[in-house]
Amino acid sequence: MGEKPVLLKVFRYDPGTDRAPRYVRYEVPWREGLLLLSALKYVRDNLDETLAFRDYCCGCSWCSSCLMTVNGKSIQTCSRPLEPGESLMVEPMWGFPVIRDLVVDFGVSITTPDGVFRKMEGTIIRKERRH
Amino acid sequence: MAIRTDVLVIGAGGAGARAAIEAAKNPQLNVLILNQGPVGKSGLTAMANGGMQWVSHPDDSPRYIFEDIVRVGCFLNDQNLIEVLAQEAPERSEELIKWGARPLAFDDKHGSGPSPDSPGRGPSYPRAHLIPGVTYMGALRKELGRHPNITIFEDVVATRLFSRGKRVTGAVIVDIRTGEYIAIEAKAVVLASGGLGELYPHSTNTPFGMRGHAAGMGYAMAYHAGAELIDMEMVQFTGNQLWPPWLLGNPALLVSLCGGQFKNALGNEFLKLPQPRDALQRLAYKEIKEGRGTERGGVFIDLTVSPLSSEEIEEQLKSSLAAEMAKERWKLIKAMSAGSPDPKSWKIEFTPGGAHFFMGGVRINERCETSVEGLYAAGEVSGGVHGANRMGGNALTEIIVFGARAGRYAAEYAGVTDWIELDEASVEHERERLLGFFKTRGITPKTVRDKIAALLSEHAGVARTGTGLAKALLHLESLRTEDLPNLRAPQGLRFNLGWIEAIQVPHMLDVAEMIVRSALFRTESRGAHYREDFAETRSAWLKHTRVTKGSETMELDAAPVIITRLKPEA
Repeated sequence: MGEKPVLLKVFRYDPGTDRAPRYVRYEVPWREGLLLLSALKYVRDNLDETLAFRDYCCGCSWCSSCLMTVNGKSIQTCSRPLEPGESLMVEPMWGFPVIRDLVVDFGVSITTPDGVFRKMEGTIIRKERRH
Repeated sequence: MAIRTDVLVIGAGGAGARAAIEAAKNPQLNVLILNQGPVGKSGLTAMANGGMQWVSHPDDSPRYIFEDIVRVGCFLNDQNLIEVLAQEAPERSEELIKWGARPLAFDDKHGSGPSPDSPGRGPSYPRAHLIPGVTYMGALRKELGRHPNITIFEDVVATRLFSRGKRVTGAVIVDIRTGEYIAIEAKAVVLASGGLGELYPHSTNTPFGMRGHAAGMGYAMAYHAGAELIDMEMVQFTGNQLWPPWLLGNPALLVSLCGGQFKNALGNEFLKLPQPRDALQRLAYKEIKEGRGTERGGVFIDLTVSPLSSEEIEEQLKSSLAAEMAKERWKLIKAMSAGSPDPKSWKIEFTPGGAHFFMGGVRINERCETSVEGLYAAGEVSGGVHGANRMGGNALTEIIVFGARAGRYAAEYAGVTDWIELDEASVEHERERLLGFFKTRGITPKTVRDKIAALLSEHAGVARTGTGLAKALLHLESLRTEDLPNLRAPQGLRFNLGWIEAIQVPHMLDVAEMIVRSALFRTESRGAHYREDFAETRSAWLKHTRVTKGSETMELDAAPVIITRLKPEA
């Protein structure tokens, strides 16, 4: 109690209706153990129900569904505890097309037996309408 | 305009992915598989710790695993399904390993006997193997990619199954990315949509309170399509951490690992180990219910009395995490607990009512056929495999064994049948229903979800009573008449998760009603289902509760349990 809130400056963009991305500031009350991913959920549940982000969590810091760009670095937001009074710039994961706000299209890539991430060709097919 | 596919698979967790791979072995067939998020980065399989059981010890045999599963399941398992599970788990698991899911270890510690919190329960031989969910899904994802006749739709949610007469005809999905509404005609449908942990306020299916894609949509879709569902009262509960936030999962294990004590809010020790897992949950529940719970609604675990040093406790904690996964998890635990690094200083609290797994579900036979022609089910959404209690390590084998079967028989069926055109009026009706959530005023889906969760937690949790369940039923009914018509989604079609939640809520309400009605109907206690007013197991109740959709209301009756080899001891 009495701890300073966390300030999030969040990238917002809906390609369907917005002409350009914008940044919106949200103040999230700090509590012990607050993670960036749960802070975003707090925003959606309490401050702005239209904020889009991948809100799944595997709980093991493994699945990478919550990858975003935070203060210019790509990180898993489920593994980023927050300090009271911290101020963060939250943007979608670099290098992937933005679907909306913080949600990107991770694309169709797959780890091959030699460990290299490669684009699959015509095997896992997403429909044209997605482009 | 509808898309057409030969086999439609709903859900790309372990069961669905395995089904699609099997069905795609027939190159003549097109297989379409749907997932709520990116494959391998979403759903329940991806968050699994990875404990799997199959027969690998020279002295072990499928017969023993069969008997263990039936005993732990309190004889409520359909034994024809367990025969299949025990027989086929080794082959399916070896195949998964061949596809790249490398097991971390033959887990001697957890496989060498009864688990520490359930003496007299659990496996008779060491047979636990560890394949973490992410590795498991990685292998299946790669294998999906090898089949040119498999199409994957990611970020889509199925909202309804269509049937004509007693035969499935297809489904409707919403593309979460665009908000587009798509009707799909399918010759056969495999339902592999997972469980329902999100219906309860505390669940191991929702790490850090985030989503686990376990809203139970599949149960409701099957119900409305005319399928039978069994044992819908059978929710497996486990301890779930309330505090500190970095101890995900079941902290009760720490007591046996470190020699701590279970204490109520008054500071009194209220139980001593060993206790069977379900008894432990009920004793903790009793403390809370009788007013000796913490402010957060749980009970304490006191590690200050542990004979171990803080460093030794850290070591125990570290070793309790699955090997490779431990590195990342441990880093996070250290980062989150930076303000109070000494584990002895943590005021650990847990609730006994963490929804962990759902034993009930869509009734299947050993071909994974449901009571609706052309509709197959596999994995957590199906019922009958685990009976009244699931033995640890059987979920990850169940999903590949029955996933493969569902895929095989769905493909067989799709090979000899034709499409049935979707009924245009029903498709249009569903579209209007989905768009009807866009209103300017009303109740948010989160409000209704929270109400459902609170009701289930209070009345259909660890301990149940007839009066409580009857009260819950009335409340659910009033949510149906008063809240559902006013459900409101935020505006916008693209990746509008508030809208997806609104779409889920009516289904969640249906499933909650199935749980409550079934729990009310089963007037005995068996396995995970405990009635304070009927505390004994009754041999007359060795049968499934069965839910079907009547012309106006939900109908309940009892159905026989299939017993092949092992009769209950008198």
